[in-house]
Amino acid sequence: MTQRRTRIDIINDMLVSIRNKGGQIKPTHLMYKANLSHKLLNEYLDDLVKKEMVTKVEGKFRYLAITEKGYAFLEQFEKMRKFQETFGL
Amino acid sequence: MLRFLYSPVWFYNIDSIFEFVTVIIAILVAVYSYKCYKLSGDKKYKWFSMSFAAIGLGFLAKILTNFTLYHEVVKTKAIGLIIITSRFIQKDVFFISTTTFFYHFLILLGLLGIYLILYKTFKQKQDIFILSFLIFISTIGSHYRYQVFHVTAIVLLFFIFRKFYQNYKKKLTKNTFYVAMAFCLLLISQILFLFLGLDVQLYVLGEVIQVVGFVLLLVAYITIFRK
Repeated sequence: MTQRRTRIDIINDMLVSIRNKGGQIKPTHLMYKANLSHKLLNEYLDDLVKKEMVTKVEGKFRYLAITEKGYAFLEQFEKMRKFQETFGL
Repeated sequence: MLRFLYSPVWFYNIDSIFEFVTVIIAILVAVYSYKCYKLSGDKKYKWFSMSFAAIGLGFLAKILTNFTLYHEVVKTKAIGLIIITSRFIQKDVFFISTTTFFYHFLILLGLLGIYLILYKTFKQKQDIFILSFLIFISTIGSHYRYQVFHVTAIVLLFFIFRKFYQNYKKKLTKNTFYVAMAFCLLLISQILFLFLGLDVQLYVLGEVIQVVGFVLLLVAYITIFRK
């Protein structure tokens, strides 16, 4: 049985999705990549924008871009995951 | 009856250096685990952090005990007056008893914390209370028979090692191997300490094995941060 994703797991999935798309992604693509509903996507996006991990880029299309803070979070999360794996937590 | 001196004379203070290394490593793990708690909000990291902090503080209490004991012994030798020495020891016996109590209690509490986190039983408050109480009783017992402390530590370390070994078998990574080996060595060191009444050299061997165990934990810790 797969475990339910925690809030931090979802944030990580969203940021990884943006990073894997070269640092910018369309909101609809992010919704599918991070496996989220529209409502949840907006809720998490608001949080990420507030925490300055993601910025909204306006242009011909609306994009979401990962910031330096977002990359720093991904690095921290990766280390935390390794720590968790090392100690079997 | 409390038994204070375990170490051979030539090993005085060397064991404190070893214990200082263990304090640093335990605190490093505790601090990083706390950072993980701040990042994720997951309480298991907070408890893990507190468990390692307790172990670090426990070893710090042992350093204080050793420092007081060895300091007195050196003084006795230098002065060569038995009466003065015995009065001096009397004065410090309360301090030594207290630090020894905290050494035993904090180490056992830390090990219990790790055990509860690994076996995912740390959410049941009733179990935590009962087990903490038993640890307290065991610490009181250790005041009269030092073996009580080592037997309790052996039991806890055996189950902790078992869980880390299972984790290694599941993941098969270098890091999980280091952690399993580290706790295996800590278990062996406690078994050696249990029998140090037979030969004081076992204390030296136990201390060396114990510090190697902690160094392995440090290796695992460093590997986490290597890119």
